Amino acid sequence: MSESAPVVLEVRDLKTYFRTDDGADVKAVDGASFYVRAGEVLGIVGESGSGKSVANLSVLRLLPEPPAHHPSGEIFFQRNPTQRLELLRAPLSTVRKLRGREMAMIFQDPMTSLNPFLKVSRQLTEVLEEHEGTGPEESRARALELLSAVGIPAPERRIDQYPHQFSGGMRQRVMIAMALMCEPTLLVADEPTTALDVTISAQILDLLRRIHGERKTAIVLITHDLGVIAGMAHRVAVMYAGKVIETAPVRELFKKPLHPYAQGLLASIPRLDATRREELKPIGGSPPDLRAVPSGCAFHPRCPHRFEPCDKKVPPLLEVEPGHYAACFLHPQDKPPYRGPEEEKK
Amino acid sequence: MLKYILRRLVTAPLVIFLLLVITFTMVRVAPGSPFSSEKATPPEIQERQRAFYHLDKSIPVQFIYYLGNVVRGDLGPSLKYKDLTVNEIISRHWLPSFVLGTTAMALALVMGMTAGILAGLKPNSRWDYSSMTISMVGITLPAFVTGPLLVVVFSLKLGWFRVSGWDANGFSKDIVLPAITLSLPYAARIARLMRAGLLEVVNQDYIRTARAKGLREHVVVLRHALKGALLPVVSFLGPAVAFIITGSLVVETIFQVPGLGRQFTQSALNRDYGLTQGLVVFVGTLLVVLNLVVDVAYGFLDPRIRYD
Amino acid sequence: MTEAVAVQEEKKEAPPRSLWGEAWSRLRKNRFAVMSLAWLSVIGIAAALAPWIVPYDPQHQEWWTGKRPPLYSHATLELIMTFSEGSAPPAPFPSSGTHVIKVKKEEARTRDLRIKVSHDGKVEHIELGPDLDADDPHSESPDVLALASGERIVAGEGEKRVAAAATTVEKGKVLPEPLAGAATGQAVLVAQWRKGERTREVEARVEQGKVASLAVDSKPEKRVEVAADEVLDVALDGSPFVHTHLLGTDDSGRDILSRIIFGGRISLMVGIVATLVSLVIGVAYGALSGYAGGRTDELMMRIVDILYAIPFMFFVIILLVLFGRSLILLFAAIGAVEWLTMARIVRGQVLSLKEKEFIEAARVSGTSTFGIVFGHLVPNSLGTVIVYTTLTIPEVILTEAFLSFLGLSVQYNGQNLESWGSLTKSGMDLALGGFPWLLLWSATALSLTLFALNFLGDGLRDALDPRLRGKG
Repeated sequence: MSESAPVVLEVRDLKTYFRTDDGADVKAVDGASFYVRAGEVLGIVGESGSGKSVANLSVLRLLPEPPAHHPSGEIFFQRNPTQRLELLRAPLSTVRKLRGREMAMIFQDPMTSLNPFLKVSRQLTEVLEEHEGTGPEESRARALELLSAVGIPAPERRIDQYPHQFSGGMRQRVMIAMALMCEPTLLVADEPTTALDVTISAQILDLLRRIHGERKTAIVLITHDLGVIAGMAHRVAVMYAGKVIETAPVRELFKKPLHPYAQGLLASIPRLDATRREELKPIGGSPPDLRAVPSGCAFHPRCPHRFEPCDKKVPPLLEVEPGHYAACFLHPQDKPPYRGPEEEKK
Repeated sequence: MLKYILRRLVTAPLVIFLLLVITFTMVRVAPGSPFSSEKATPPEIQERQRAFYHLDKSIPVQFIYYLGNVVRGDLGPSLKYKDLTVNEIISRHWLPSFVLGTTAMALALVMGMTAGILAGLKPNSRWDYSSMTISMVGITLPAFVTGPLLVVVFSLKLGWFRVSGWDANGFSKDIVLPAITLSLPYAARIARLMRAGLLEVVNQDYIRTARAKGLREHVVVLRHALKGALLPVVSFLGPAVAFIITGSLVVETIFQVPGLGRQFTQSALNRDYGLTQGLVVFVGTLLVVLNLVVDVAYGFLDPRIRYD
Repeated sequence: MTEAVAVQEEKKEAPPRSLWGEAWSRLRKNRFAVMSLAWLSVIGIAAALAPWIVPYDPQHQEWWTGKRPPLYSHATLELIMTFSEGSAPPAPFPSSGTHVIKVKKEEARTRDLRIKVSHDGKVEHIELGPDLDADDPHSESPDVLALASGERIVAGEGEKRVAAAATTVEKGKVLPEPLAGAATGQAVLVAQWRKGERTREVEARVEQGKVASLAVDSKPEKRVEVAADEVLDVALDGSPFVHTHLLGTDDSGRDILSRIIFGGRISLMVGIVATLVSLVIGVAYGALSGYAGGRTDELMMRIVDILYAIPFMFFVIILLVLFGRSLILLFAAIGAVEWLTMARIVRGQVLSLKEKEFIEAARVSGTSTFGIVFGHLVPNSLGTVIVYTTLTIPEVILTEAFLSFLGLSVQYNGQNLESWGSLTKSGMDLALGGFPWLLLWSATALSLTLFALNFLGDGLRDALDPRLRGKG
């Protein structure tokens, strides 16, 4: 992937907290930064509760506010070569016009993410009708075209059916078709295969890979499965307890993970056959309680290499090797800090 | 869908049959013959009366005769109004009940859904709390409290409507107070169901999908949320029809509406068993049919049932 | 999103406490539920102690002090009191001392009144004779005769003499009490319509049990007749004996507060007992159906479905008309209607519970089916059962009130047992005559109680199962 391609989405120091009934905050995302370039696939990997989904729902501003709020952070979206929008403080109406049109999202559970009361045709065409004002016939033609593009057999017949008449894999294909209706520049796929059978999920991944190949859509692929990342992403961001703790081009990360957590993740999957979906073996201990994140490095209670500073100071995300950032005291602390895509361009 | 309708079609006659058995048994087992209150009727005439109504036969045989009559659509004679059959009484009095019932139901739907949707879209807002408290009042205040209160305020104090009475020509402003009285509890319940339904649906993944598609909020609500949220309301409509019919017993008494509800109350108090029995069978059958209609409507609303 | 919610929910379960302790502390935070509980305690205690705490006998009638507003005070008097020199004073007056009675001066104007009543008790014709005092020789035959303040209709002779004030006689309507008592069957009621505003003072001095001297406005008289409803104030040897009706009186002069307390007794008793009946049937049926599962469950629930479709209200009415309005029958009838919902709910609970490990354990250790159902499954669905019991009571109270309203109040020894429903019914008749307070009081008592029970039920549901908050 060319490093000179424009940055489509840049998230800087995003914090997403949920206010609970007793006034305390659950820090689901606590200072995460990442970016995606045009035509690039960014994998975001982490355990459940690491904040990877919440961070991306924050990008589309899909979280109900309250309880969600953002104490800090900026989200920049490059709408076209000249227009760059900050989404986190933008009026919701502005963000709404981008949703579905320029940034689309695919969700984890295709069984519940489609409206059971509406025909598939309606759910597809309404995206075009909303954003481009396209007429019903044209929208339908586009929907049919996309349904066959995502591999739904006999789309002429299936388009007038209801979601419950589709299998899980087929529904996820419909979801993907729906996301592509307006040819978005950015596609966020939130664990698109987690709820599916192994064989089906391989097919859906193939489909995503093909779509990316054909359309060069920038994709943020959220998953807890490193195998999925290896087969598809260009760069990876590893999240833990609401922070990005390591980010690198995918090959770098797989070759030499720097953070003990990432090392643990990699050690738990068979390395030779990385595309096959494997159950992720848990690292010792359990993910942190987000109401009371451990002091210092959130990973330190589970870390096999922890030493003195780990429970006192939060390790900064540093460029330990060129293009390879990690937040861990095990590595030299005199390296340049993460400063976003501009720095990397040099 | 066909299986779904068929299953309900099978139960419907069963319910009506059970209805007939219960009414018939109750009236026959009750102490005193329907003719015992008559003034000294000569024994031979009594005999002939009994023979005419098949009262000289055994109870099961009587039931079969009765069943035959009902199947032919003959609900039998009234015992008090000697020259009238139940069918004639029904044909004279169904219209006010029908007009009142449908008006009240329409009112209840409009008020209840509006309040419920507004409350459900802004849960825990001031509007939500106040409308839900009001609806709790609506549920707990019985018609025989709201009715007279409305009369005291709008008829006696403000003089806008008559205290009671019903224009024989059908629609007039006489309908306003009884229809409001009858509709309030249902409006309240519909509002609560609508709100609960919306709250349930709004948290569904597919609503998030709709938002992720960039649809405007009113499209999300009206197109994506409303249909699912309506299901509990629709399944309430079946029992609601029954409640409206029984509720109208009271409302027709308060406002002196010459409908079937009042006929029923009067017939029961007059011990006119013939009329009582006939009316129960008529209303019960109506209820079963309406329930069937609601069930089918439910099936059409929910594609998961329709294509099962 | 889902992740965050999951985290939030985890948090709520933080300190481990007993289910009931937790529920109770949650309930106490619910302001409405606490207020409801307080109101229900007040009403419950009042109803339980009714015979000892009511100010007056709820059955005691004094129609001449009828329809009086809240806080009305009066003395207990005979209907017509005749004082005549040399004979004993009428009933409440002791045999010695000086009695001063302030009376409305009432003989100002009198017109003859004829009311024709048809056999069904309805007024057919009203004829009002000429008003001689006003030199107006015209007779009138109005459709409605509404008495203004100070006007009365007096009918009957001697012991049957009755007087009615603040009432309306209307063509086509039944005669108001107590006039209706004077006109039985098809009759022409000859009555006088009187007016009067000024007051007079009757002073009777009683010695050795006999009226020694008598004066009206200080002028000596031989014989004075005083009608009880004209009395404004009575002083018996200087000290008035006075009854105060906190909430006013009904049309027969009965104390409304006492009647409401006694009415609450009936309403609450019906509510609780009939609910218990439905509880027993519903829990047993639902638990057995859910535990049996399979075809038995299917069949049992189909039966419930079918029974659901039957308009039971009609049957309860017929039942009460045919077999008499006894309490037992009412309990049975209402209980038999209300058990259906309970059965469905308990079945649902049991279905989800019976797959749990502890039931498996009980089964393996050889507990009988009966023991499993009633020893393990039912106690574990207690929370839900309590919630729905709380929500059933108001429904039952409402059903009873509804029946009373239609004139089917329960009877005991041939006497109507007045409940809030029947009180509201008589209140409605009075409210339409322009006396709204009886309706207001009984309707308030009834509604507040229903309100409280519903809020408490909702509160309990929220407290026992926070996940259900805001549903339904």
